[in-house]
Amino acid sequence: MRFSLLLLILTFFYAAPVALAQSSLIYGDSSLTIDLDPPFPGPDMEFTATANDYAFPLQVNTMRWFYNGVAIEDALNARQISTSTREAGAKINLKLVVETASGESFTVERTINPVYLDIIIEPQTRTPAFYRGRALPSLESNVNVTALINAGNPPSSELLFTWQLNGRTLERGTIRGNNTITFPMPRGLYANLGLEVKDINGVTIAKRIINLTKVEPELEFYEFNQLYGIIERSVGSSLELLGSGIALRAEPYYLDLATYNRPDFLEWKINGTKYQGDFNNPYEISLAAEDSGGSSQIGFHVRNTKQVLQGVERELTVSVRPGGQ
Amino acid sequence: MRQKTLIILGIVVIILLLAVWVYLLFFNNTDQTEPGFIDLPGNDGKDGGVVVPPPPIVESPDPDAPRPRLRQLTTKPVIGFAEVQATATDPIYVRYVETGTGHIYEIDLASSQETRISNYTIKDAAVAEFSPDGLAVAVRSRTDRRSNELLVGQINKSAETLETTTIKDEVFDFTMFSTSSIGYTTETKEGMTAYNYNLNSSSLVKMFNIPFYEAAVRFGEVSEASHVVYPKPSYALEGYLYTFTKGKMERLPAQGFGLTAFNSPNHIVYTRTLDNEAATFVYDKKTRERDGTALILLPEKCAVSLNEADTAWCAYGITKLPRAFPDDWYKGVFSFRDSIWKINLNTLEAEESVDTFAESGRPIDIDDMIAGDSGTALYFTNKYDNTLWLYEL
Repeated sequence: MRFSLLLLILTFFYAAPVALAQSSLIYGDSSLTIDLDPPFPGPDMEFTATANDYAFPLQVNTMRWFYNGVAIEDALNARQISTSTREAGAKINLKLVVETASGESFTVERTINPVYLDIIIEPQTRTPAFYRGRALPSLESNVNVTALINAGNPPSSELLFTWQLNGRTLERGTIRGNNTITFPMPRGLYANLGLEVKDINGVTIAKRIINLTKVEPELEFYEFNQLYGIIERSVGSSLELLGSGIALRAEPYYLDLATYNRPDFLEWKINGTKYQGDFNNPYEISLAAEDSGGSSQIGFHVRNTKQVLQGVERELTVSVRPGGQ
Repeated sequence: MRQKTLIILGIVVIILLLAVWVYLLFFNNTDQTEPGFIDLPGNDGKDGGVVVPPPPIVESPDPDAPRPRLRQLTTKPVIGFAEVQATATDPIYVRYVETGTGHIYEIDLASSQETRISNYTIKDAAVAEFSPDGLAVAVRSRTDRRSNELLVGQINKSAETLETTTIKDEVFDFTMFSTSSIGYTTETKEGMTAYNYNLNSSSLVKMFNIPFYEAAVRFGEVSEASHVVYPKPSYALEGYLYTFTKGKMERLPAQGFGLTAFNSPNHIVYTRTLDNEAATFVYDKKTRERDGTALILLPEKCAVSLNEADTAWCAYGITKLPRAFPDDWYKGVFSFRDSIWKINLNTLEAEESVDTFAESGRPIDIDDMIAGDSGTALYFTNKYDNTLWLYEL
């Protein structure tokens, strides 16, 4: 009984490759192929090409590689070579010639057309007007994505786009000219966004999968001056008040735009007591120093009560020296 | 009799007093021009009875004493500045726009004398760009949006004002190619469009279309030049580098997370992060080769030398960078204490010219650095307080 079980397991492991080999042989030419890593190398990119002769039924004695018709001398009999593409649109012809023990010669070729596939992410979350960086996606915030092939050459109207988000195909499949897409940022640490671009004949010309990191909204406090505007240095977690008073602005980063513009909950607190923000801008507060000195905890909290992860709160310690010194 | 005499004497005295009063009222000529305001006596010694404090003893600066090569030019925060020199032998001036008011000042670098040359108030002035000759300026006021209409002014120095024109579009990035030519971007349905507006002819010419919105645009010197564009940087998002020349978009071989870049005649310098480590590369446009530099360079902290095409002046303070770089620098959460480096873009050799903290005793986080046309100085703001500084080369 035990021997039978062992025989069954061994038969399974042994039989599987045989079955695969036999199925490959059915396709003839596919028994000898060139595999690329990455599968679609971009311009000026290093890649490896591997001779896949696993299913080739004959004994191979010699392997010769050719790059655009020129023999790669140091790659004689190498099963794998490393080389690189050139500029965008400069096609490469990679040829592998194998000779069998019987002297027969077989040739397989692969044409590589390096293209830039740029996936530009534009999350629709809040950052201050002075901020020179890009917004990042937080949970359920909308994310706009634009794909560009070789900076628009060929134009997207001549290409077919298939988008996938976390393995699920978007827009119900492939659409011609559909190089932009919008989706709400899903749950999880990352969103897995895939894109396959084909030419009008259905030949894949580029394929990419990227991970899009989800962030939590952040909050920074900035000093605000009626004349000079916002002072573009975060005051951090503590601030020593030197003058008679200060105006502070709370700037949430990466908060969904709808939450920022129409917050369900927005609150300033000074030493635990609720306080009304500025009448014109609830994200601002004016503080006056008392002669007695001391320190106060200033808290700010903004949140979407229907989506509680769309919110942020933070505290700041403001200290004043006695007599305003 | 005695009573009659007294009455007559009284009348005579009254007539005399009236005569004196009439004389003083109508014939006494003083220099007083405005009723209610009285000139304070001068200190020429003619007006007695007034104690005039002695004038303070002011020691005039020794004109021969060497001035520090690194020095602060303003105490006010500034939003735009330019070096102005009519000819190579003329004095060098620096013009700048004051934050919040839009008032324009001019500093004579030889005497350090500052003069206000425009008191035209531009409320909430937040971003400004001068024309290369410094005779015109474009100013955008702050809003909660990233854009606003643009006010363009020709500086009338004698009248201390601006002759203004307003571009009504929602302007994002902008530059002044010349006194009468402005380049700017505005939103469209497909992304951003860059226009060239001519103030003289009021003509508007489309320069190029950017097929996305969150674009950082670095205009070339003239509208026909190459303009560098990339998606705004973030440590968590990939960026790609493009140029637009005569309307044609071209992808350059630079991409990566947190991508920032600047252009020089023969090179493209770009910085990106990989595995949370920032690295800067110099791409040679002719050989198409790239090499890494030891310094981390940001476009806001670099200026390409106008005299030597393969030289860049960059600010960098060697420090541990935060994971979220350059985001944290743009947020004002992370700051540098910069040195200024001279970098040979061919050999990538970098030479420290000045440690700004050691030189000035103050933390200086350099922003918006430019090289003056005269080739004698670098100008920049200190991100700590947005004051204007100069470093003599």
